Amino acid sequence: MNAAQSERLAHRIARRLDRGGLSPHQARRLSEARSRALDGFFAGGRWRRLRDRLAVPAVPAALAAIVLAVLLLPDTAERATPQAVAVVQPFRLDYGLLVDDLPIDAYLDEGFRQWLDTRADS
Amino acid sequence: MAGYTGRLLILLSAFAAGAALAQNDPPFWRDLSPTMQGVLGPIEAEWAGMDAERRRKWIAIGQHYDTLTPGEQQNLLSRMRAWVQLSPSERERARDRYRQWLTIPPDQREALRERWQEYQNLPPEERARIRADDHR
Repeated sequence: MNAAQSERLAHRIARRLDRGGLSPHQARRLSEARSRALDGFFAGGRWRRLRDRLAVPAVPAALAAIVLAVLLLPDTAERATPQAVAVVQPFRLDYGLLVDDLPIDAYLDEGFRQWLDTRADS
Repeated sequence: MAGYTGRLLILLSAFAAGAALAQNDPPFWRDLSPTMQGVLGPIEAEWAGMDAERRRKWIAIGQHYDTLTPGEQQNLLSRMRAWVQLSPSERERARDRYRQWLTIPPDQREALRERWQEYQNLPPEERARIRADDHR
């Protein structure tokens, strides 16, 4: 079985499990299989190798993350204004339009635009 | 000719089925938390007719509700329903103009808000006359 087939099978199994309705016998077998797989993972040395590989860079990385978090905190702690959200988020424009001080009618009222133009001319 | 009509009918049915399927996609109203249902309450009646993308957009808006000032929360709740009832072209026109508005410096935005209030204070017949002039 190649990687794509394995992944498809995994998705099908996950969908089936999401639907529920397993018998106690099926649930027990799944639980045993999971335990065996985890035992193999931890006993096989892969866990140890992974832990050893992560341990050395993890300390400076954690320190760097703390320093960055402290430096960035004053900015992120501020409330994002609707206008700021409107510029950076995907649902942005609708959100800004809905909460901003200027009502939606102000953008759609052609008379208002005309009136602004005549004021600007005079 | 009959073959052509038949194929057209099949195509139209496929589109209709596609639209119906999109509306049957989650997130469903019943899946929303009670808090989210409270925030999005004004558009509950329209929820079933929305596709999944629009529903997700509204959830994203609802997730920002707690970060809004009380005045902004009031704006949101009072405008949601009117917004979903606009035609797609009206919504697009409002978005275009809001996009332009975002490029204006903040002090000029404030001035524009004041102009809108002034315009609202004009007698209704005066506003109707301005709109009629615009169409001439």
